[in-house]
Amino acid sequence: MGRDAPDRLSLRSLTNRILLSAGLILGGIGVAVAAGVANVSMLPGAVCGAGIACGNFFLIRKILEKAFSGGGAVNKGFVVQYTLKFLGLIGVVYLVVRYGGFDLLGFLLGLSSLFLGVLLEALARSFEPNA
Amino acid sequence: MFRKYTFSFLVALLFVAVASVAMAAEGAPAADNVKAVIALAAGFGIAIAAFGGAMGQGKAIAAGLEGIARNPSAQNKIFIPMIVGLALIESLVIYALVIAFVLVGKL
Repeated sequence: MGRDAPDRLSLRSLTNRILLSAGLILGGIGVAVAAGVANVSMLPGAVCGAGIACGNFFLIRKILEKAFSGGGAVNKGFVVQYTLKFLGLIGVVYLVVRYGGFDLLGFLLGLSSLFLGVLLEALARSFEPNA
Repeated sequence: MFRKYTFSFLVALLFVAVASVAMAAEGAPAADNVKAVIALAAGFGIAIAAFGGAMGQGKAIAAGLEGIARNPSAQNKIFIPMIVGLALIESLVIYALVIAFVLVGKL
């Protein structure tokens, strides 16, 4: 437990930074909308994309945590769960793109919040004294 | 050597397929030509993205499992970058999927 604690904390901080980056992207779009550079319709698309990216990350984390929690043995349901998650993700993206009516650039920006979150996490780690 | 020949054959096949579509519509209206190219772009785009994503995820999981098998005490240190890598790879495939949906919507 003692050895696991720092890793769990870093996973939690990564999750928090992904959420923070999603907030940053939404804030950036909000500023761009206020400045008249971007269209207002980008905002709901970005919210939807960020939600999908974060949900996908949480599901991957949950499925893999459950799969590798059994010591040396890997849970056999892992493959089925992962495949179902991926199919669900494809279905959600299809529904959003086809029937959602969101701005696609905003949607892709929202999906990119994961990348920005990982970048923020790496930058934060590089500035830590023990890194 | 066999891989090189197979790769060359597939590339040649790709060029032949694209050229036949491009030349077939010489007398047809330009709109049909554009639609054919859009369909090709959507199909090849998602195919290449799925191929690359599958290769990347397979390699990531294989390397992660090998690392955990060699050193089970390092499971947590290997696990987090593996999750992040898998999520990033999947995001890239989803980008290609969105673009393919957009292209198909233009048909």
